Amino acid sequence: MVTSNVGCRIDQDCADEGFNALSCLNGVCQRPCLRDVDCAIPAFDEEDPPACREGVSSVPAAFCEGQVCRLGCPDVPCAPGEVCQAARCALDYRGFERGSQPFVNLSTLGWNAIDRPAENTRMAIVYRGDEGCRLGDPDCAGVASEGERFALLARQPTPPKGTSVTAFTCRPCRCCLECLATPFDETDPPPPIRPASCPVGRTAPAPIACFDPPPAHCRDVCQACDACPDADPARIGERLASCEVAAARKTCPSCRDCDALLPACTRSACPVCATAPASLACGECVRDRCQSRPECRSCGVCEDALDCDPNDAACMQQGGQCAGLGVGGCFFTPVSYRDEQLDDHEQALVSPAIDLSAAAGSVFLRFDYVSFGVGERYRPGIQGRDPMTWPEAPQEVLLQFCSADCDRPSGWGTARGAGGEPVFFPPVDRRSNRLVLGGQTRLDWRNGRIRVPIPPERLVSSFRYRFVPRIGDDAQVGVDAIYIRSDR
Amino acid sequence: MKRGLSVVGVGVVLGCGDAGNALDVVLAHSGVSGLNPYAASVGLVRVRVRADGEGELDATAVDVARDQRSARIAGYPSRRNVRIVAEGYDAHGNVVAYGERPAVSVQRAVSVTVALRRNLGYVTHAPRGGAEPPASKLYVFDLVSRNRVTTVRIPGTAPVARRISARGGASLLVSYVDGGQGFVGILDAATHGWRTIALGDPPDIALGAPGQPIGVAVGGGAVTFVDLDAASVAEVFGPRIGGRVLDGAVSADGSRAVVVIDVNPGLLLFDLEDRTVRSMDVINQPSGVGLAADGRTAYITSSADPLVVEVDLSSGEAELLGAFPGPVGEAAYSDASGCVFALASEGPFGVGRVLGFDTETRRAREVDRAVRTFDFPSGIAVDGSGRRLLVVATGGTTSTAGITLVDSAPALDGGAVGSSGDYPRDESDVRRYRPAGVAIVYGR
Repeated sequence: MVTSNVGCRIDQDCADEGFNALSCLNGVCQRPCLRDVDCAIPAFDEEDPPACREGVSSVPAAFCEGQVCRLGCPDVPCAPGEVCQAARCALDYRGFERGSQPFVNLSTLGWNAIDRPAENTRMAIVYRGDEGCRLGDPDCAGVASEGERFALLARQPTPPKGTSVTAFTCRPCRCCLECLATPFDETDPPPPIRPASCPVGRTAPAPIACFDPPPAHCRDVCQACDACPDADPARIGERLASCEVAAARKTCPSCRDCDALLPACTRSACPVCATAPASLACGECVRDRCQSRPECRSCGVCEDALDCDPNDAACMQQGGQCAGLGVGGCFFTPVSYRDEQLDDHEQALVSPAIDLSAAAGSVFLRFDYVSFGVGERYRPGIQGRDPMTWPEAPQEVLLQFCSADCDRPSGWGTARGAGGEPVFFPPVDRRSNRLVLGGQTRLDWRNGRIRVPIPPERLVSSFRYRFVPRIGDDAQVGVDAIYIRSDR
Repeated sequence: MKRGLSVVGVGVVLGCGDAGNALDVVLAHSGVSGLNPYAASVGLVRVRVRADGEGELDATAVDVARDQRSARIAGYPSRRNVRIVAEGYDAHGNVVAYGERPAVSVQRAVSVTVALRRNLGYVTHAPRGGAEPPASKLYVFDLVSRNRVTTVRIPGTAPVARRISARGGASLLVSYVDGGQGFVGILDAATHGWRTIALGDPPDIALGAPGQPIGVAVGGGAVTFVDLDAASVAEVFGPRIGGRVLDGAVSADGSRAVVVIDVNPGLLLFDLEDRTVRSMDVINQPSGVGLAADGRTAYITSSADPLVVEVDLSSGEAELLGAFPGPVGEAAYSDASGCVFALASEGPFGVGRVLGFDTETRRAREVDRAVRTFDFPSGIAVDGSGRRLLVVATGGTTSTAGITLVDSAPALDGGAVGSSGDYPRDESDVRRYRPAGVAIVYGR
C-alpha cells in the first residue's frame, strides 16, 4: 500500500489494519518519504504469496510530496487537459527530452518562439552523455534532474566593440586610424608614418580609445587624411571611436563613382537596410548587389591585394595596381558597429505558450536547477565602452511571467514567491559551489528546487515564463523538470 | 475518515483503560546568525516530529509547519524509553535541521523540549605554519549545499586541533593542544561559545553525550573521564593505555563509548557511568568504528583485512559479518540505509572512495558505485537522520583537498550518491587548508 485514509495513533494500528508498509503520520496510516523512490514498491516476485502475485496485476504509481507518498497517475486519472509525468498530473511539463523526434533543440521544442531583435545563442539543451565521454561538452553534460537532458542557461557576453560594418576610405585615413589605435613606446617612438608604407594590418583596427592629440609619428599621415574627399555623412553610424569617425568621414578618389551609386542602389536593391541598416542582412545585400557593380570593383583592388597570397603572380599584379593608386588606394574602415549588446528581453530563455485558462485551484510552477560557477558579481557590459569601466552587478537568474504581449519587454513581470519576494536563483549563500558542468550529481539537483505561485490573473491561454540570466560570461545554470501543477 | 482502532490479541496497543497521553514537543532553536534553522536561506518548509518507543510498532509522527514551534502527539501510549526525533525538511526533502531527545518517559501528559539544530558539519584542519594556522580554526559546512557557513576559532594562543566529535545536539568536543598542554574544548552548538577543560596529557579524542555529564578523553597514553557539564576533570584513569586513537564513537544515551587505537588490543570500551575501561581484540588492525543509533551495536573495520565485525557493546559479543572489497579506514554507520560507510584510499595518489557494507544482507556494495572523494579521505561522519554523510579529504596537496556530501540511499535507488567540491579557500590565506576531521551536530 502507498497510502490510506485509516485513522491511527501509532504504527501498530496500521499493522492491525493490514497496512504493514504504512506508518502512523498525522493520525492517518500513510507512507513517509523524502524522495519518489521511497514510495516505489518493488514488483512481486516468486517469494511473495501467490494471492498477492495473482491478485495485484501492477503496483500503483506513487510520488513523494510534502514528505508523504501519494497515489499518482495514471492510477489516479488526471483532469482533462493535464499530462501525466512521473506519476504527477501536470498542467504543463517541460523536461527537454528528445521523445520520438530524431533530434532536439530549443527551437524544435517550441522555446524562444517570440519576435525579438536579437537572441541569445548560447542557450542550449545538453545531453548527459555516454559512459566515458568527456565531461563538460554539450553532449557530455552529466546527469539531469529527470531523464537524460536539461536546458543550460548562459549569458551572451557583451563584446567591447562588436562586429563592424565597413566602407571604403582613402589610404592616408586608414593609416591614420591604424596609427592612432596602435600603442607605442613613448621612450622610443617610431619614425613618422608615410602613406606609401602603410597600412600594415590586413584588417582595420577596432580600438576602444584613440590617441588624442595625434602623436608626432602620426601627424603627417593624419593631415594627409584630411585632404581626402568627403564621404556621405549618412554612412557614419554608432559606437565608433573618435579616430574611426575621422576615417569614416572620408572616402577615396577611386571610389567616387561607387560612392555616388551606393545610396540609390542600397535603397532600391536592399529594402532591409531601410529598417535595419546595421544588420547582417543589410551588409550582405549591399556587398552582393551594390558593391559588386563595376563602378565599385576598382575600389577593392587594395583590399584584395592585402588578402591574397603575396607570392602569387596575380596577387603581385594587384599589389602593383594598388601601389600605383598611391594615396588614392581604397581600404576598409568601420563606419558603424552592430548592436550586439543583448538586453534582458533578448538574453532570456522563453517558454512556449501554455494554455492555463482552464486551470483550477492554486497553480504553481516548480523546477529544479543546478548552478555552475555562478559567483557574487559580474560586469554586464556596455558595448563601445572600455571594459575596465563597466559597472558591476550581482549575479542571478530571474524568473519572469507573461500573459500577453510577450514579444515586448513590457509584457513581462518578475515572478514572486509566496511572500511576495522576487524570485531569483541561486540564493546568495548557495553561489560559488565550485561545480563544473558534468560534475553534478543527483544530489546537486536536489539542492535547487523552486516553487512559485502563478497568480490568478496570469492563468490565460497564452501564458509564458522565462529565465533571464544575469550571470558572468563563464557561469552557467542548468534547469530541468519544469512542472506547472495545481493544488487540487 | 475511518477512525476505528483494532484491539488485537497480542498486538494490544493500548492497555486496558490506557487512553494514551498527550506528548507536547517544543522545538527550541538558536537565533545566532548561521545557526538558525528557520532562517529563510535554510529553506525549511516543515518539521516532522516522531515519537518511537522501545516496541517494534509504537512509533507515530506529526508534521508541523515552519511557523509553528511545537507539536502535540495525542494519545501516545505509556512508555518509558521514548525517542523523540524532529527532522526539518526543505522543499526537496533534504534534512536541513535535526533534533533529538532519547529516553523520554511518557507515563502521563508530558512536555519535552527538543533542540532543533541546523544540519551542519564541523571540520578541523591539518597543522601548518603561518600567521593564522589552519589547525586553530573550524570550518562549518551546510550539509545540503556543501557551502561553508562560518568559521570558528579555537580558543588559546596557538591551538592545534586533533579531533572533533559531537555531543549530541548540545556541543562539539574538540581535542586540541596549545603550548604543549592538552585541552578538551566544548563548543556550544547553539551559541558557538567555548568552555575548556585542561588536561595533563594531550588528548587525541573526546567523546560524550548530552544528558550524561561524564565524557572521556583519550590520548597521549592516558584516559581521562571529564565532566562536560562542569567543564572539569572528573577522574584520571590509572593505567596508561598507549597508542594513537584512530576513531571513536559514543552511544546516544552516553552510557558507553568505543575507541579504536593503533596498538594492541585495538578496541577500548568505556562505561561512562561506572567509569571503567575494558579492551577487546576482535579484528586485526582495527581502523574505524560506526555506531548504530541504539548505542549497543558497533561495527568495526580494519586497515589490514577488509573484514567487518559487529560488536554488541553490552555483552561484548562479536560477530564477523563479511568483508569490504579491501582494507578501509575511518567509518560511520547509517541507520537509514543499514550500511557501514568507510573510507578507502588507493594507490600512491590516495584515490578516495566511500565504500559501503550493507549489514542486513551482509554484503559489500559494488565498488563501481562507490562515491568518489578527493585524494586521501581523512574524516567521515553521518548526520542524525542517518541519511547524509560528510567526508573530508586532506588531498595530496592543498590543491587537491576536498569535501564530499554523501546521500545514503536504499539499494533500490542505485546506492549512495555524492557531491564533491574542492575545499574552499580561507580569506586570510592564498593556500587552501587541508581538512583533517569532521563531526556533525547530532551526528556520529
